[in-house]
Amino acid sequence: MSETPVKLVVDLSKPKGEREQYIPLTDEEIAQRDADAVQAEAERVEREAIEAQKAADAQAGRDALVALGLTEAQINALLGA
Amino acid sequence: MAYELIETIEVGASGVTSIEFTSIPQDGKDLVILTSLRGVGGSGSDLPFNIEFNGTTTDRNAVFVYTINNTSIFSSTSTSYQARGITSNDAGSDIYGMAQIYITNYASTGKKPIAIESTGENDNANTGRSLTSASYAGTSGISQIAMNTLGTTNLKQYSTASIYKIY
Repeated sequence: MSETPVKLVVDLSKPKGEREQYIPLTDEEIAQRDADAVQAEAERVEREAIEAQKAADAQAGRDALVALGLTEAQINALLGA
Repeated sequence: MAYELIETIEVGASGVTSIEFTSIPQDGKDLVILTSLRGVGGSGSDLPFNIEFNGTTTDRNAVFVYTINNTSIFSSTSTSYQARGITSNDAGSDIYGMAQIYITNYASTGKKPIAIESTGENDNANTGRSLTSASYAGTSGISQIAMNTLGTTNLKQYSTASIYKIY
C-alpha cells in the first residue's frame, strides 16, 4: 500500500518554530490533484498540436512560394523573417 | 518600498505535494513569494504547479505564456494560475527551479493584480519556463496561498519557499 501524500501547511499566526505542520491529503484533495494533472496534460498536448499545425502550415506556405519561383531571400523579405 | 521577510520554510525528508501559507498578515501592501523547488514523480521534465488563493479556484483569470526547452512558445488565457518552476529529478543534482509570485494590494477587497515568473532551471532537455499575468477578483484579502503540484509529483527535501510583505 502506498503512503498517503502530505502537504506542508505554514500557519503564520503562530510563533516562529511552531508554524509548520505536515498534513496528509484528504481523498478529495488527492482526486483534485489527479484531475488537475489530467487537465494540464490535455492542455499541453492540445497546445503542442496547435503549434505543430502552425509550423506545418508555415512550411507549406513557404514551399508554395518557392514553387512559384520566389527565392528564399524574397520569401524572407515578404514574411519579415 | 521595504521588503519584510515573514517566513522561510524548507521541505523535510518526506517530501510534500504542496506548500501552503495560512493566516497571512494583512498589514502589508504587496506580497512576494520566492521559491526554489525540485520535484520527483510526474511525467517528463517539465513539472508545473498550480497556485490557489483562499482555498478557492474561482475568481481567477490569467494570460499564460510558456516554453519548453525554448523550441516553441505557447500562450493561452486561463482561469487558473500556473507556473513551471519545478526542476525535475532527472536534472543534475542540487539544481532547483525558481519562481517569483508578486501580488499587489493583496489585503484589499478589490481585484488584485498578480505576476508570476518561473523557470525549471534544468541542465537536461525540456526546461520549462513561464510567465503569467493575472488578477484575482475575490472580495476578501488574500490570507491563504497554496502552491500545489499535480498528479504524482512530490516536492523534494530542501525545496524552499519564502514569503515577504512589502510596505
